[in-house]
Amino acid sequence: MKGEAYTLLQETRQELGASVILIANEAGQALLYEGIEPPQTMDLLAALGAAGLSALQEIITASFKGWGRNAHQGDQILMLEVDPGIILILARAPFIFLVILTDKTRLGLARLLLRRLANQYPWERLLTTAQRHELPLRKDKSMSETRKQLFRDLWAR
Amino acid sequence: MRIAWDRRELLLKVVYYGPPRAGKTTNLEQLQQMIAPEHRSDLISLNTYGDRTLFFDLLQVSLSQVGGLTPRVSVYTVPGQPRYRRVREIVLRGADGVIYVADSAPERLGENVRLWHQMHQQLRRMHQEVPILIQVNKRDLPNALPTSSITRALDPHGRYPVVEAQAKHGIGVKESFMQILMMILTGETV
Ligand SMILES: Nc1nc2c(ncn2[C@@H]2O[C@H](COP(=O)(O)OP(=O)(O)OP(=O)(O)O)[C@@H](O)[C@H]2O)c(=O)[nH]1
Ligand SMILES: [Mg+2]
Repeated sequence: MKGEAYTLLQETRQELGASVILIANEAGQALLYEGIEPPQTMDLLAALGAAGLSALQEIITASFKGWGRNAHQGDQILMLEVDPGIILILARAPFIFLVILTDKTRLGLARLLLRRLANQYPWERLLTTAQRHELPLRKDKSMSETRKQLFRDLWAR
Repeated sequence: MRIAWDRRELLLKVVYYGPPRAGKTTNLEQLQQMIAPEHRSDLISLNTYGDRTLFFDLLQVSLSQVGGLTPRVSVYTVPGQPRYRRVREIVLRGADGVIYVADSAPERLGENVRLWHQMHQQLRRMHQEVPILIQVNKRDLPNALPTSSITRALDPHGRYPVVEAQAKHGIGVKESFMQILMMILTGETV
């Protein structure tokens, strides 16, 4: 079963000419990973640095805690530009689909293929029974809080 | 949506799209007046004679920090005139959310529908799937069409949230702006 998922990942990565593609859970742990590790990939991750990686972790978590959306509402797509490439993340709770692109002209295609990948396979199967039990995801209750915070002090007077 | 790691900023792009003279630029002018100066840039406009938008208007707005990042929003309008179709597509590229400004004047219904389809076509071509809010503007016109006739023509299945506005009088301007940002950041409509 995992084999089929892996093949999908591999095909998508090749179609994109991307260096890495992975699926992680909301804690940011990789559940499935596919990719060669050419020097560029290492450069990209190094460019992110420790601060970048922890910020990445934070944003992934945040995107599931009210910023993110579930499958019914659509996807959240984040783009991190790091020389010499782009990290594209599609957040669809409870997963993230991440791809590292070195060719920026493929961004449109990458959005499309990541979405297709997300739809193509019942990824919940990768979760343990206990994790699956918590689906569907709890709805964020603090929406009005987020709103208050975001627009704090924005308006004149 | 992009993240500038070094500055811990979340960079967002909102686009006001719609037919000629529907009130897109007016929305930005009003926003500029309503937003506290320390939270915004000046309004940059590239106009032809007679205040028609030539390329775009741009206003930059900083929100307050959430989730460890400060959202900075670049707010654009497209030019509505038919000959600027290509410019609309360029401005629309990379948008995280769109406010579609429709005109309530009865004789503008056809244009409302035409540009609505053009926008969807352009979004599809660029593989962009973004939250869209319909702002039905110029509700103050004495002969304004009922809002429901306009939204039914655009969105017969009622998929998109609707805000009524009189941009010239500053009504519905804040609501539309806050709503699209909530849709982008949370996927929620209220
Ligand atoms: N009656 C009425 N007029 C409005 C309203 N909002 C804007 N207008 C007027 O409509 C005209 C066109 O407004 P703009 O904001 O320049 O329109 P636009 O959509 O930017 O037009 P283009 O740049 O040509 O695409 C101006 O004369 C505005 O004052 C409104 O709520 N009610
Ligand atoms: Mg204009």
